[in-house]
Amino acid sequence: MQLAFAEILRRRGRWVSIIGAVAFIVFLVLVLAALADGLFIGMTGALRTGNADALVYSRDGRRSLVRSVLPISDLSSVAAVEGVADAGALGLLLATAATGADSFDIAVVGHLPEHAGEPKRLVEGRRPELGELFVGLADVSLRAEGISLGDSVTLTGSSEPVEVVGFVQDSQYLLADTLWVSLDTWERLRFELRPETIGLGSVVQAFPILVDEGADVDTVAAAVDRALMTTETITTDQAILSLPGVEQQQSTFTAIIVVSFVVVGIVIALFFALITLEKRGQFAILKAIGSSNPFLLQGLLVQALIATAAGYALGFGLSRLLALALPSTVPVAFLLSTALSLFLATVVMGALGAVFSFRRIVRIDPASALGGEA
Amino acid sequence: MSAVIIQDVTKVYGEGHTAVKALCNASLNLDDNEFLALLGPSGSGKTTLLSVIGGLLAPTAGTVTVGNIILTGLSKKEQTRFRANRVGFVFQGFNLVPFLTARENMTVMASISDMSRVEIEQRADQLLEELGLTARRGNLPEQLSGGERQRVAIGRALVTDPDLILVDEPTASLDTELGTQVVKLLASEIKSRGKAGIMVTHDLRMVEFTDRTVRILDGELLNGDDSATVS
Amino acid sequence: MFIALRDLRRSKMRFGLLAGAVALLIFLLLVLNTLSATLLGFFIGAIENNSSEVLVYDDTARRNLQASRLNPSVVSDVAAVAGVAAAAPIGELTLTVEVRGDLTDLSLWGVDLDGPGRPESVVQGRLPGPGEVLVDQSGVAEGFEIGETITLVPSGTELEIVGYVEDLRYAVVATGYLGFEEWVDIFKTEFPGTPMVPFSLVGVETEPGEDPTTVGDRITDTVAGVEGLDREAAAAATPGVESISQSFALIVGITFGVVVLVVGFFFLILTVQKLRSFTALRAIGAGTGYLAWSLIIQIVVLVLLGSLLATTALWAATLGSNPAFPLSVDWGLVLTVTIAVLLFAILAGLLSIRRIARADPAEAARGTH
Repeated sequence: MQLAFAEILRRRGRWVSIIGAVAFIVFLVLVLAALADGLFIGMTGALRTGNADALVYSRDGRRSLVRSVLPISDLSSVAAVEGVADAGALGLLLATAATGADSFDIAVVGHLPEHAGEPKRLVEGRRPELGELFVGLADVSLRAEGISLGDSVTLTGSSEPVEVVGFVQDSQYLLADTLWVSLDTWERLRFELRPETIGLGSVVQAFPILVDEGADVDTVAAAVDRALMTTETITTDQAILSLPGVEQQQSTFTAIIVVSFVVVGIVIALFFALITLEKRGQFAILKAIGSSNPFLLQGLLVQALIATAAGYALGFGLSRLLALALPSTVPVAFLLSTALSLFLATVVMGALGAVFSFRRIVRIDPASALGGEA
Repeated sequence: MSAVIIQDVTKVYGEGHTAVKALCNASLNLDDNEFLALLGPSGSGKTTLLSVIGGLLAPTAGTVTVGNIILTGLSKKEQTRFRANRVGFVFQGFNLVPFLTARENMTVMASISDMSRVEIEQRADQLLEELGLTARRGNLPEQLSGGERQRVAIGRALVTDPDLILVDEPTASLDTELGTQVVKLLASEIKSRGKAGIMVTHDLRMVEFTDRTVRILDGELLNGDDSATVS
Repeated sequence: MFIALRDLRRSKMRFGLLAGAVALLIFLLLVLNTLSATLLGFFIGAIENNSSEVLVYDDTARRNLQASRLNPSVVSDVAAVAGVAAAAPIGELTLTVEVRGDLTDLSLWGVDLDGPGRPESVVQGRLPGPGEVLVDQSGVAEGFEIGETITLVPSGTELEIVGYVEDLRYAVVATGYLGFEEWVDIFKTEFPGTPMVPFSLVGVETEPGEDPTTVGDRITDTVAGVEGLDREAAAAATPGVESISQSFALIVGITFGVVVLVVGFFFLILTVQKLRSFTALRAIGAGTGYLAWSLIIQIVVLVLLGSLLATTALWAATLGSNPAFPLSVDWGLVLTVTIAVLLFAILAGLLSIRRIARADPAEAARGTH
């Protein structure tokens, strides 16, 4: 142990470089994962925020939120199904809005307050009162457009602005600035901006549902579909994957992350193998004076452990710094699970690299220390 | 009692017509507390013989006994333990660990040998004083002079209190005065502690500090040894 | 040169591991780049590779194709603007279709098959006639193959797939192309009772020599209620694309930087040639310049080898990739990253030789480390 530590302390320059290399590699993967996770979270916020167990779509909507059309009158039938603890409603309207001179895309989500599907994470302000019209909860993404509490959002083509009375977090629909309003407000806006849908009447896109405690979601979902005959009820996770682009994006990013993990892992292992190989001469001497192979291996592993752990910590810090420097329009999310699995991977691969090259060191002939060759 | 008994040791490298006989039926007896000079030109096999005696190399034929241990029968692991505890090496290039201080180059033997750390540290401090290195004990090898490095190497060889000291060309990179000093030091350490030692050298001027000289040429030990057989 | 190659041959393992590490890092960069480019293409291929140089939107739609609604009179107004060689309507409609027994989404584009907006990259089959449709080749993953019949839901209209186009996907869903009149009929079937069928864009081909951006601006200024954009601007403005392409640009950019830095670090830490033999060579009179050259040659060979390995691996992957998710080699990126890595690696290598240059050649004779 003394040997292992002494080498690090006395060869500080070299070990700083080693830790630096590991740090950069770790930084890369953490940032990739954070960007991927950020995109996922930004795209799916609207469906996750309500903590619903499942979502009821119209069968012919084929799991597409925009094309699902359900008459609001079906809501009571859904709520009456055995196993459904609560049912809410979600209506989706994609529009543009303006604040002063700038206009931006906005997703207006109509929902039933205090029912399943309602955005849970209020971070500022208050929730609309029952019956209050043309007020809404804005996702924090709207702050980037200059909206603050009390401001009004005017939808292009609409006569009446919506006042923002509160901000919610992590409730975006497909990365868009998202505004949550009551179903009544939503319907009025819809009739104004999408007159071609007036003929459809009082319809919504989906009913988010919560199942009874202990009930099986799939069973209840099937029950709902059986009761109504015109619906397709799927779990929230399934609904998320059905959002346009999400599945493709997820699989692309999964591929990106997997490739990165693998490459990074192998590179770290190679790296430590190379560092160990370089010390052949030193190992010859140590073996000549009686160091056993396990003793030498232990030293190598200790060094690999220190270097990878320190490198990881540094890389982690760097990635957090980068996150602060990124413009707020770039979605980033650092998930604990990713951070932990990368830590394990880094340390394990460093150790494997040291062990791999150790096999060669085992074959070093201690006699080579004599004769001035080593 | 003989500290070292070598009997008919042969070492052949390679096979067939490319075979090289580094040692040929070498036999030698070394007493306790005897400091032997092994004299020979380069290529004579003296380093090979030293390696065989030190448990670094297994001979092709013959036996080597050090103290009461039959070296040639030991497994690789046992050979390693032997080198850690029973032999002290002083290599040609000193071969100190470059990132350990003078003192640490000695105390590292605590991790390697069976001796307790407390005892090793005590012995190291004592040796540092005897070798005149106390002031330099915190210095790294690159900060030490050639002579100082050599003395550290000697200290490392002695710190585990081995029965046998093997020295490979100690004066190779030192001037005459320094070289003489070092060999004198070696001899006094070896003799005063009652140890046996073999010094491989090609420098005739150093033999005066040894008890006995054995010459080696082309893998064969020549006169100077009582029981030497000329093949 | 001689020494460089001899040393290489003797330390094959070390050399191989180092080349492997360099190859892996470059490969990572290339893969990330192609994955992001392909996914991005899925979002906006139909726009950025459109045969019209300028796309005209409803100016209230804020560049969102699916919110853009224009009426037929706009086409002639646009055609009258100076610099416009031809103008034609383009309609987009995303609907549910049934193909091979499964329900899936299809973004259906109605275009003038002879005019602006027509699909140019037909890689197999032919242009569609009545009752027929062209699909983007990536749709094979969803079951859209030549010869298959797709059924629109719920109207029941059937279309036969007669050909493939390339890189013309929109919004990540399977994308199909057919004649504008047919598209109008389909719209009427989907939205019965609509007084008028609004289409999404006017596709514009510009006169030779005209800059699309200028023509686009002219259209915006001249014609009421519209906004004209060149292809790149239109693609970039597609909702959601900004975030995604920013994220991807960051991913590729950061990876580039890290790959270059890490390889540099590798060369700083690992001496390709043994320090000892260097010092010994210096002792016998070899100049530092000569030795530096030897090292540079080794580094160049190593980096080029690594880059070659990485590019070959990616190229092999592109051959094996299915049309559902096509991969491609960005040769510009290969060149840039190879040069950047080479420069950094050489810099790092030279830095590590500085140590040797300062070392005393007489040390070699004394045989110390």
